[in-house]
Amino acid sequence: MPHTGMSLPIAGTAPFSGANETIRLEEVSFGYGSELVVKDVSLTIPAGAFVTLLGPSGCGKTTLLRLLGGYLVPERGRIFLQGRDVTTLPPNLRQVGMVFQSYALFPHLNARQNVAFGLEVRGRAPAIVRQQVDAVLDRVGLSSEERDRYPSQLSGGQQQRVALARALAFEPPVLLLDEPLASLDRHLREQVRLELCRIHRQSAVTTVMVTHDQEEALASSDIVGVMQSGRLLQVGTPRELYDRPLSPFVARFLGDANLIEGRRLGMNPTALVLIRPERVQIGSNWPGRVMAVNYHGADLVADVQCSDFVLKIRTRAVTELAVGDAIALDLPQDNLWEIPAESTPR
Amino acid sequence: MNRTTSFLSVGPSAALVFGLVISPLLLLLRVSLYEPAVGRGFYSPGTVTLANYATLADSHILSIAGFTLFCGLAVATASLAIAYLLGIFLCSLPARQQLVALGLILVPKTAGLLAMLFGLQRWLPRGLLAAIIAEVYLVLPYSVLVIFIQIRSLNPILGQAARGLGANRWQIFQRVTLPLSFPGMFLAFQLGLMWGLGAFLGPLFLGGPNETTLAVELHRQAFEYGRWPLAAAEAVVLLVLVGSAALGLPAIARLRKVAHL
Amino acid sequence: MIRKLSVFIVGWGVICVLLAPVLHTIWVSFSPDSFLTPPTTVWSIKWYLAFLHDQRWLNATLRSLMVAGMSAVLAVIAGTPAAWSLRKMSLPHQRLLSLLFLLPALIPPATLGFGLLPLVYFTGLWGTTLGMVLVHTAIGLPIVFLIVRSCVTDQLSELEAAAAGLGASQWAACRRVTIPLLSPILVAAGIAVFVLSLNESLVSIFLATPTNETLPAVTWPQLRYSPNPMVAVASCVTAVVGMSGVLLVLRLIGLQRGPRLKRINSPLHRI
Repeated sequence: MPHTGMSLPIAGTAPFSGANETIRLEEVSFGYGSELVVKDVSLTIPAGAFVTLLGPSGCGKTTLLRLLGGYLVPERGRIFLQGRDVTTLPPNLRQVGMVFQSYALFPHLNARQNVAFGLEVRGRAPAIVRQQVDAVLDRVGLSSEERDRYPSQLSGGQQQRVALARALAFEPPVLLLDEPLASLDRHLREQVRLELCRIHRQSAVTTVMVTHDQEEALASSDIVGVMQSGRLLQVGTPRELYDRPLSPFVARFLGDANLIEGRRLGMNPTALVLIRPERVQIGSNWPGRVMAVNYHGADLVADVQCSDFVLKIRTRAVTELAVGDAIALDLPQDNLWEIPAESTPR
Repeated sequence: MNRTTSFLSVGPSAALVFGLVISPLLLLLRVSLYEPAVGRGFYSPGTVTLANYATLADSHILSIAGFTLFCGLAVATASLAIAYLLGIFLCSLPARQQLVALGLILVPKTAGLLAMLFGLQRWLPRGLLAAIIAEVYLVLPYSVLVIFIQIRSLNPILGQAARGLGANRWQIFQRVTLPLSFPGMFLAFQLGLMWGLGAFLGPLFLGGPNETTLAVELHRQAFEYGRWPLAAAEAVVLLVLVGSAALGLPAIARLRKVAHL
Repeated sequence: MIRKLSVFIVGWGVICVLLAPVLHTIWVSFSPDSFLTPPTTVWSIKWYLAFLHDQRWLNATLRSLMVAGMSAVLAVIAGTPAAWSLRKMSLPHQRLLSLLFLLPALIPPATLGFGLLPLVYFTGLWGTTLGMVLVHTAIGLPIVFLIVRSCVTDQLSELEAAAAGLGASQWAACRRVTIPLLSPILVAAGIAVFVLSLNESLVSIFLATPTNETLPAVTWPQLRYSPNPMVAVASCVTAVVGMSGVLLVLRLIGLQRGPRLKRINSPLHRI
């Protein structure tokens, strides 16, 4: 079984290896009182990457984002932005744009004035401010009549564009997004996500996004870091994390997972073996009986009781399956991934 | 935010309170330990005595302290009861009427205090009832405010949930609204008690000779007889009463909670 | 329906009872003679004219307005930063400071007035308007503190954080975000202190001398010993100013419906 160690998170992520780093965290910890919310997080992010911090609520991902922005100061560890130690630098002296989950638009300023804020406090000339505000609002696609409206007169999606434009207006090298899609309607979410990716590509700003939605994370990012109770469990490309998770938590958090004890498959008896439902094939080696069937339109998801374990399988809906059917499955060696035993805390 | 900023921002207010509220109280404590004046002046400087407190143990002043206590409890109870009714009434009103009603309730205390006393004087003969009523008029606006804010902060969904579970209006009130508004009621009662103990204007303008509270008595001792040390000792006793209402009531409430468990 | 009607009648009935003495006083103030019976057939503004021609009443009124205005401004200036900075402190500090700033409202005014007597005497503030202003500022502090603290919400903190993230220094964030957002509240708090100061009789009773007496201080001895329609007029003057103040405060705090501040004011609708 091939194993990738946790050593250098980004090592092996082809498009970025050797690129300039923008952000480096060195064993950063943060806590409220005695409880640590972020524990010894180390991470290096290359310039221009789209990184997603993924984890359940309360895992410390938003805290980590706020540490990056300078809104919180770590208890231990150091933070570097573009090679400069900014650990204790207040947010107004870091060049980091942030989109808050609540958007935090200034209610007493209209869209244009909100976007101009970062330029005005930097003392830019009014003419330049006006020009840059219009340019960035063009980029996020806010129509001209919406630009004179106040936040309370804008829809959620429009508010989000303004917040994004405001964060980008002063051209920071780093953009932080705190659950940017969470407060949007389901049908808007995919559209905004694509726009975020487009804007990221166009501006080449190093972007760190926080989310609890694994589909969002897998679809948008170059690099995903999975967090659980304050720790960064694993960092890698979406495919790496999905196919070769280093812990059962990561395996389960990134989608449906069959985790089977190694001895039942005649493999390493101390390890857990992962096979994704869509990698299970209908064949001949493992006879079983269908226990439950869920129809998902394009796909069928079924639970199959094999000799002494249950397998979830996902197949094209053209296959007809019914509860009680006898069926035989194949588990191709190439599709099995052994989760190393020593890195299975729970 | 660093130390300097927080010091600068809290400093002026703290200076005001220390200079104009706490230091006068300390000064009172000192004055209460002076011997009464011989001849001119308000007290004999440089003396220290506990005699003023011994004088307080006299039956006349004990009865005044007793009435003060009664006044506090009566004002607190009456204003809590009326304020709760008004609080519920206010919450049942549409937003615009709610503001108008709230404004009208605030008028007697905030806008027309003297006008209110003048009007009450015309109607009520001086006596126990009049003194208490006048004091309730003074305390009520704040009690209503406290209870109104508490009831309004309750989530209306809870009532709907209770209704969905089969509770009728009375049961919703008794099992949901009332228990959840206890904190506000407690605070309103506590404030009513503290202000009722310090009752001055009501008993002064509408009370008879029997309706003398410690506050009225200390004013009389200081201004009519010039006995500052005795008046100061009375003020200290009043402060102790109000202080124990402030600190004692939460302690009793906590004890009761423990007993219930 | 009947239940609703009865709640309606009882509620407004109690409010009417609360207002009745004030209305009665206003009625009496239009009395044509010096009796305290309210006028029925003949009404007159004779006592209002007398009020306007009496130097002592006029001076007291002007002084009251001045004291109220100055203490309102001072209380807002002193109380706002205190309430604003409180949320960034540890919980025990918050509790202690809250108690400290609310203390002026919790102490029985008669004891406070009496205690201030020797203090004002020894510090040379005796009989000065400055002394009156300072005392009224201290008394108004709890109102400012309570109103501002209820508006310094997590949402405001987030907006200040956003401003910092966009490059604003602490002072710039304060000037461009905090103060504009809080300004209607600060005005409301100032008016509230103004109204309270105008009606502050208790401490004034203890501290007033002929050189710094406020309107309530002139009113109350007459109210106690020789009530006449002039006292009713004086009471009505404060009442009218006070009521307009209360209306303004409620408008500022409660009826803020403009698009600009809708979001920040939403927690205020609970007041």
